[in-house]
Amino acid sequence: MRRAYTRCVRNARFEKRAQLQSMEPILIVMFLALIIGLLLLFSLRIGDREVEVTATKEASKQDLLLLGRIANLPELSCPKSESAKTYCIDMFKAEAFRQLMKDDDVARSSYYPLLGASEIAVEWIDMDSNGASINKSMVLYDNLNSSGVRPAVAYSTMYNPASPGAARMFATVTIYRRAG
Amino acid sequence: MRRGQMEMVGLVMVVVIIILGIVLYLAFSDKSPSLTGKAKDTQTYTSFLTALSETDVPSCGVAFSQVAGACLAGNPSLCDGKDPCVETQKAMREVLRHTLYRQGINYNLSLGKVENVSGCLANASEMYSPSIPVVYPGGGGSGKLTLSICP
Repeated sequence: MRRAYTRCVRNARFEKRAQLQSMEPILIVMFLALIIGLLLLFSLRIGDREVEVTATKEASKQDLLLLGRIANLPELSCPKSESAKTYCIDMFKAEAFRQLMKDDDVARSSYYPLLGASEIAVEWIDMDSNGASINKSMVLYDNLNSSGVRPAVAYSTMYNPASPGAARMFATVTIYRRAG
Repeated sequence: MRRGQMEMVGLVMVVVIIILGIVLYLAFSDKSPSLTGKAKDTQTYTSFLTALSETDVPSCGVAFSQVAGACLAGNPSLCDGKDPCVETQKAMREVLRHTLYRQGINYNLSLGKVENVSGCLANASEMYSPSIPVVYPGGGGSGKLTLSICP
């Protein structure tokens, strides 16, 4: 009786150990699958990140190029005596340019190779001597037919030749371009 | 080495690899701005300071940089007897109100003791902090106009 019980217990132990040993390869395969999965995930993320970084770099470069072109456009820039370190936009020239781009489709399409599919808006702060201010704005160029847009901002000054006291006002140039 | 010890070493290695994987995953899922983005933003905020320094202050009839220089030097003659520091503060407030404040950006624009703060806590770390020099009238010294952008 006692011998039979001992044999039974020994057999049970042996079966448990055998079960564990048979589970080992399955566990190893599971761990390997997990590691391979993680490695694949990293490689995909690294690839995505590289694409994202390249796209951001390219977009930044394009934005800077366009801002540079706008700053150097004789149709918009301030007289030589008024240009200092930052971009300076002549208010009268800007108004004439805006009107031309609004009314003349041929003129607008002739600027397409230079300014591309974009919208260029300028806002400026007109301060009075009491410290109060009004925000004014105008869209200089609009050749953007897209709903998803990405803005790029640069700060400049707006020069008003008719105002000798406060000729240079703080301005924000925003370029909207198609996102993605 | 016994078989049990070898299994333990294998298990430890697997655990180490998994922890390494999690650390790498967290590192790559970081959404902080890239170096290119940071450089572009620093350039944008530097252009903000330069444009501000060249903006004319209507109550004084001269550029902001000159009024700011007079404020730092304690020279009240520039703005028809008005305190140049008060005029500097007014101009800074108006420009910021229409630009960074409206865009919801947290900032601290400071020139010596003259400060305009919105959303920047005293102990907050800054994301960008460009500055430009402000020269005293007559070139007797200089200070700094600093724009700190906070998260």
